[in-house]
Amino acid sequence: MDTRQHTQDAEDTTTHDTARRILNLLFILNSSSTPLTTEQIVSDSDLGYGSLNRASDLKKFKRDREKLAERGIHIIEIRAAGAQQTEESSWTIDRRSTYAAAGALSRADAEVLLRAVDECLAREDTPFRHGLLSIRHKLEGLGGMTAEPSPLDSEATAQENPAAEALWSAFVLKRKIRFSYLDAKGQESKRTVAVWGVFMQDGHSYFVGLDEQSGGVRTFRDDRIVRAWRPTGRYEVPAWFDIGNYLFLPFDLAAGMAQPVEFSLRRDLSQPEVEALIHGRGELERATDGSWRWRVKARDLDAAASFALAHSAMGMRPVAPNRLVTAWKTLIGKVVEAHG
Amino acid sequence: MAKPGSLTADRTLTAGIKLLEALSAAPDHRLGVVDAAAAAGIGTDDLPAVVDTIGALSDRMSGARAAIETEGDQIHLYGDAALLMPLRLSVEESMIVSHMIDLLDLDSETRQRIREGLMPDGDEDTARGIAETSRYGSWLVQLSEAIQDGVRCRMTYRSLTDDTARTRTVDPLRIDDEQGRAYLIAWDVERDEERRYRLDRIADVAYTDDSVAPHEVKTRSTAESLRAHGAAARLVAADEETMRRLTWSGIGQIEARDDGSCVFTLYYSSKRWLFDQVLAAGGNLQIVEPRELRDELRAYAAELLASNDG
Repeated sequence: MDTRQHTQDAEDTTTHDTARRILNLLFILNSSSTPLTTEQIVSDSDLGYGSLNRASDLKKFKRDREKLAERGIHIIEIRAAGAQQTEESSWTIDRRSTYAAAGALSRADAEVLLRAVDECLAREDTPFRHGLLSIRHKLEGLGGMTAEPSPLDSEATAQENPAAEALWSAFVLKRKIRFSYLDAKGQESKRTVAVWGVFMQDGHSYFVGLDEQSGGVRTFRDDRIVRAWRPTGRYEVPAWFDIGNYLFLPFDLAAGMAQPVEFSLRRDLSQPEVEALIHGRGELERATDGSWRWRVKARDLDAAASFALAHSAMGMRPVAPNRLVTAWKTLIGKVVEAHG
Repeated sequence: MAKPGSLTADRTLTAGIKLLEALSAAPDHRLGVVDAAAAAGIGTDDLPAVVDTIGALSDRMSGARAAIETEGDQIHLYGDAALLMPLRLSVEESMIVSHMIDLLDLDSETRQRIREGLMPDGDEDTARGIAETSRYGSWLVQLSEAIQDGVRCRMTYRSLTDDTARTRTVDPLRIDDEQGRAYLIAWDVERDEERRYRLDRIADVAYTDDSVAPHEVKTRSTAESLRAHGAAARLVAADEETMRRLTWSGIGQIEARDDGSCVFTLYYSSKRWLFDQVLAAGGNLQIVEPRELRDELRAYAAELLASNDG
C-alpha cells in the first residue's frame, strides 16, 4: 500500500471514529435512564475517550457536546442538591430543550410550514437548500404526514453551488471562512470573511461580512464564489449590524456619500406592496393626506430620480431634496425631447 | 463493513442523527433506501457508511446496542435502544424557520406555537442575519390552503392597468416564482380566463362557499401571456449596455445595429408601465412604433410634470 493511500485510509478512519464517538455519546445518554458521571464518560475507551491524557479527553468531551448542541441536542451538567463543588458532575440530555414538545405542531401548522418550505425549495436563490430539506422531513414526522416527496430531495441539483453552501454553513456556525472570489471585473482573489448575514435578491444570494483583506464590510455574490476552504476561528456578529440595510436599490450602486431623499407614493397602495418596492429600506410612514412617505439614503440622485420615474404609476414622486426633483424633471425633459 | 467514504465527520454525524430520527418516526421503524438517504441529507452511495456507523453504537455498561440492518432496499431499526424522540430544530433549521415565519407574516398565535414547540430555548431572534426582498405579501398561507382544498375566493387586487384595487372572483390554481416575484396563477371567473397575480399586490382574500370549477388551464409564463394578450411596440435601446440591463419578460426579437444601438419588439400589458420605463431610462430608450404611442408618451410626461408642481 503506498503512503498516500495509507494516509487517506488513516484520515478516513479518524473521520469515522469521530462521528462514531459523538453518535455513541448521544446513544448512551439517550438510552440511559440515569445521568452518567464525567468519569463514566471520559474513562470509557469503547466510547472513544479513555486515553492516557484525561485533560485531552475532557476537552474532547466538551467539543463533542458543542457539536451535538449545534444539531439541537443539548447535554447538560447536573449536580445533586447540596453537592459540593468538588464533587463530580453528571451529564444528561436536556429533554425540554432537545426534544420537541408533545403535540408540538398541529397538522395544520405543519402544512403551513411545509408549503412555505416547498415554495423556498422551488427558488434558485436559496443558499440553505439542505436545511430546507431537513426541515421538510422533520415537519412530516411531527405533523404525522406522509407527504409527497419533494422532487428536490437528496441528490444535488444543477443550481447548487458547494462553495456558496460552505459560506452558508460557516455563517450558521459563526466561523470565519477562506474562499476564492471572482469580482465583477473577472479578477480572482482569496478572502477570509466573518459572514454577518445573508440576503436573497434578484435571483442571487449575497453574503455580507467583515473581510480581513480590506478590513471593511463587503458583499459577496453566490455565483462568484469559486472555491471555499474549511472554516476556522469563531466570531460574533456585532449587535448594531442589520442585514436588511444591504438589500440594495439602484441608487445604492455608486461611490460617494449617501444623502437623505424623500418620495411620496399613492395612498391606496397596500403596505406589503410598498414594502416589496422599497425592500424594507429607510423609513415609511403615512402623511396627513394619507399618502405614503418614504425616506431613505441614496448615493446617486440621478438613479434615485430614475427609480421614481420607473414607478410613477404607483404614484411615486420625488419630494426632497430639490436636487432630486430637478434630476427627475431633467430626465423627463430628455425623453420628451427625444420623442419630439 | 462499508468504507467510510466521502463524508466528513460533521456530515456523518448530522446524517446519523437525522437517520435515527427518521427511522424512529417511520412506521415499523423502517424506510426505503432512497427515503432514508433523503432524510439523512446524503446520497444513497454514502448511506451504507452511515448505517455502519450507527450499527457500531453500543453501551458497554448496559449492554444496549443500536440494531440497524439493510434488508434489500430497506433500512430497519430494531428494538428501542436507538429510538430518538422528535428533536427540536437545530441552530440552522431554527434560523431558516424563523426567517420563513417572518416572511409568511404568520399571526402571532401560530408563531408562538411554532416557537414554543419546535425552536430551541433562548434567542428568539434567530432570524437575524437573513433577509430578502418581500415577495409573498400577506396572503400566501390562505391562498395555499385554497389551492389545496379547491376553494373559490374573492380577492382584492390592483393590477398595473387599474387606478384602484378591485375585487375579483378567482379559482386559485398554483403559486409560481418568476424572476424574483411570486405569482398566484388563478382562473378569473368573471373574465373566464387564466390570469397571473403578483402576491404582493393582493390586498385581501376571502373564501367563498363554492369550490373551484374545472378549467382548461394553459400553463403560460409571463412572456407567453404577454405575447398572447398584450400590445406590441418597437423600441430602440441606445447601446448594448442599456439593452443588457432590460430584464423584461415581454422582450421579443432584438436586432443589433451598426451604431451599437438595438431595436427590439416589446409586448406589454400596460401603457403606463411602458411610459414609466422609457422615462426612467432618461433618453437611452425610445419608442419607435407605433408613432401615436410617442405622442401619448409626451402627453403622459406633461401630466407627470404638472402633478408634481406646487
